[in-house]
Amino acid sequence: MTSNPRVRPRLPYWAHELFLRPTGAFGATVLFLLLASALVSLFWTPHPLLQANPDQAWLGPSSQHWLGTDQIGRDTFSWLLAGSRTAVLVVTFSTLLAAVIGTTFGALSALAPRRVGAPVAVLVDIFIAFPVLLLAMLLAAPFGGSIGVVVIAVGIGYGMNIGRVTRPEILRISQSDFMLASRASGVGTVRSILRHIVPNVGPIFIVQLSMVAATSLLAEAGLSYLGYGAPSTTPSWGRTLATSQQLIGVQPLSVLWPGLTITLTVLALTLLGDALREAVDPRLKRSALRVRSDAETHPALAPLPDAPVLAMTASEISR
Amino acid sequence: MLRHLLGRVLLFILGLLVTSLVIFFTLRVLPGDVTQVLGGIKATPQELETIRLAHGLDHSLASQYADWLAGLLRMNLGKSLITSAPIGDELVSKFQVTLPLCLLALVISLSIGIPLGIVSALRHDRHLGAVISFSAQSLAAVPALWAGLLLVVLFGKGVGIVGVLPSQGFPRDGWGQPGKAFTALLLPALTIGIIEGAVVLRFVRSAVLEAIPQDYVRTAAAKGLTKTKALLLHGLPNVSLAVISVIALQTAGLITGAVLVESLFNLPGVGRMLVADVGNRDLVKVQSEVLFLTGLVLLIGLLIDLSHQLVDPRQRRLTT
Repeated sequence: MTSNPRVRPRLPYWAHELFLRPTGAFGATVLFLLLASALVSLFWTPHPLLQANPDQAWLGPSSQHWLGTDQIGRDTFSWLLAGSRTAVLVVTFSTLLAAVIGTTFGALSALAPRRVGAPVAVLVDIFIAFPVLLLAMLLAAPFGGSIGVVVIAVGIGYGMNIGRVTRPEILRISQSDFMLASRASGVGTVRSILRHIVPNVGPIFIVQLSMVAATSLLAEAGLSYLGYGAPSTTPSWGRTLATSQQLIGVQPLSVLWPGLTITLTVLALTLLGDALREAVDPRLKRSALRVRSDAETHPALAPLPDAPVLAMTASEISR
Repeated sequence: MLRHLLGRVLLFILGLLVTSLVIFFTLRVLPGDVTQVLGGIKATPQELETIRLAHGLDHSLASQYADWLAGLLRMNLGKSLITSAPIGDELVSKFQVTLPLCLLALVISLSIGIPLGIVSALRHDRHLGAVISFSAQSLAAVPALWAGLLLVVLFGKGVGIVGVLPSQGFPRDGWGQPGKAFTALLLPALTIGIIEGAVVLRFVRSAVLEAIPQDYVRTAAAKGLTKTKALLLHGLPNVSLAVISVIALQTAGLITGAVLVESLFNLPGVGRMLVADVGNRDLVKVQSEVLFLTGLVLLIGLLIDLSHQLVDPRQRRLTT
C-alpha cells in the first residue's frame, strides 16, 4: 500500500484505526496525561510532597491548594500528581508479568504434548479460583506490604487468567485447516506460530492485558487502603483515597478527587484496550471505515491485496 | 452422569489440596523463622524454644503441613499463634457478619444487573441501551472503596447529605437486634452490590445479545410473538444458565469486596479479621482464613457446575 506515493498514510494502519474511535482517542489521551504527569512530578510539584503544614490542615479547594490539603496540611493536588508515578509503575510491571505468565501457561497448556498440557490446564483452572486480593494478602503476611506485592499478586493472578482465556483460542487455531495447510507446505513451527497464532490470539491478548492494567490500579488502591500496598511515604492514589476518609466530616469534597482520578484512568485503560483490539483484529479490519464493501461479504470479489485501488479507498474514506 | 459428577468432585478435592499447598508454602517456605517474628528481636533462645514447642513449629515443614491437613479433616483449624484462641470459633462468629453481607450484596447486584442487562440488550441499538452499557463500563472502573466513601457522604449518619444509615460498626450483640444489624449491613452491601451489579449487567447483556439472532427466537417471532416477547419467553430460559454461572464468577468478587468494605465500614467480619491477622503476622490464622475463603470459592464453583447439570435439560439428556 505504501508504494503509492499519493496516498501514503502518515501513521501505521493500526494507529490510524485507533484514533478514529472516540474510545481509543480518549484512552490514549488519558494514558498520555498519566505518563506526562508522572514525568512532570519527578521534577516539579506545586507544593513539596513530604512537608507537613499543621496550620494549613483540612483546607478546602483554594487558589493556593487547588484540591485542598489533608490532615497534616499536605497539598492534595501534588500528591495526586505524584501518585501517577506509582500508577505507571504498577500498571507497567503487573502487565508485563501477566503477559509473560499468561503466554507461558496459555502456550504450554495448548501446544505442549497432552501429557504436559492437560495437567497444566487443570492447574490453571484451579489457580484462577484464587482471588487476587487474597493472593496479595498471602504475600503481605510474611513479606509486609509493598508495591512489589501488588505487582506479583496481580501478575500471577491475572496472568493465569490470560492463560485460561487464550488456551481454547490457541487450540482452535492450531487445529484449524490453515495451520494444517501451512504445515503441509513446509512452514516451520516457529514461523507458523508467528504468522498464524500470534495475529489471531493477539486481539484477545490485548483486551486481557488492558484489563490487567486496569485492575492492577484497582488492586493497588485497595491494598494501599488496607495498608499493604504503597508505604505511607510513597505517593499513591489508594493512599490519598484512604486519607480522604479521615477528612469526610470536614471536607466531603476531598473524597471526590482521588476516586475520580482512579476511575478515569481505569476506564481509559479498558476503553483503550477495546479500541486497540478492534484496530488490530484481522477479522474486524475495515469495520471502522463504516463501508460494508462487497469484498467483505463476497471474498471472491475482493481485489488483490496490493492493488492500488484498495489503497486509494482505504485511506481516502478513513480520512 | 455419575462419572461426570465424580470427576467434578475429584477436581474440587484436588483444587483444595493445591490451594492448601500454595498457601502453606507461601507463608512458611519463603520468609525467615516464624518464631523469630512472633517472639520479636529481643526474645531469648529459651523463649523462642517455648514458642516453637507450643505451636509444633519444631517439626519439619512436611509434618506441620500434614498436621494442619489432619486437623482440617477433623474440622479443627488450629490455634492462633498469638492469643492461642481456637481459630474455628472466631471464624464461625465472624462469618455471621460476612455471609449475610455477601448474600445481601448478591441480591442487590442481581436485582440491578439482570433487569438492566436485559433492557440494555433489547435496546442495544437505541440510546437507552448505549447509556446503560456505558454506565456499566464506567461503574466497573470505580474502586469499591470510593463507591463506599461516596455512599457514606450521601447517606451516612452524621456526615451524609441524607444521613439516614449507620456507616460505622456493627451492633455489639450481633444479630440480637436483627433490625439494627440489618441496617448496619445496608451501606456496605450496597457498595459491593452496585459494583458487582455492573459485572452482572455486562454478562447478562452479552448473553441476551447472543440469544437475539438464534433460530428459536426467530421461529417464535414468526409464530406471531413480538420480538421482545419471543426473547423473554424463549430466550430467557437459555440466558438463565449464564446468570447461574455469573454467580460462580461473582463469589471471588464478593469476597474481595467484603475484605475491603468490612475495613471501610468497620464491620467485625472474616475480611477484617484477615486484614488484622496479616498485620500481626499470625501466620497460622492467615493460612486457615485464606484457605477457608478460597475453599468457599471452589465449593460454590462446584455447586454451580452441578446445578448446571440439573437445570440444563440438554446436559441431562446427553449424560444419562
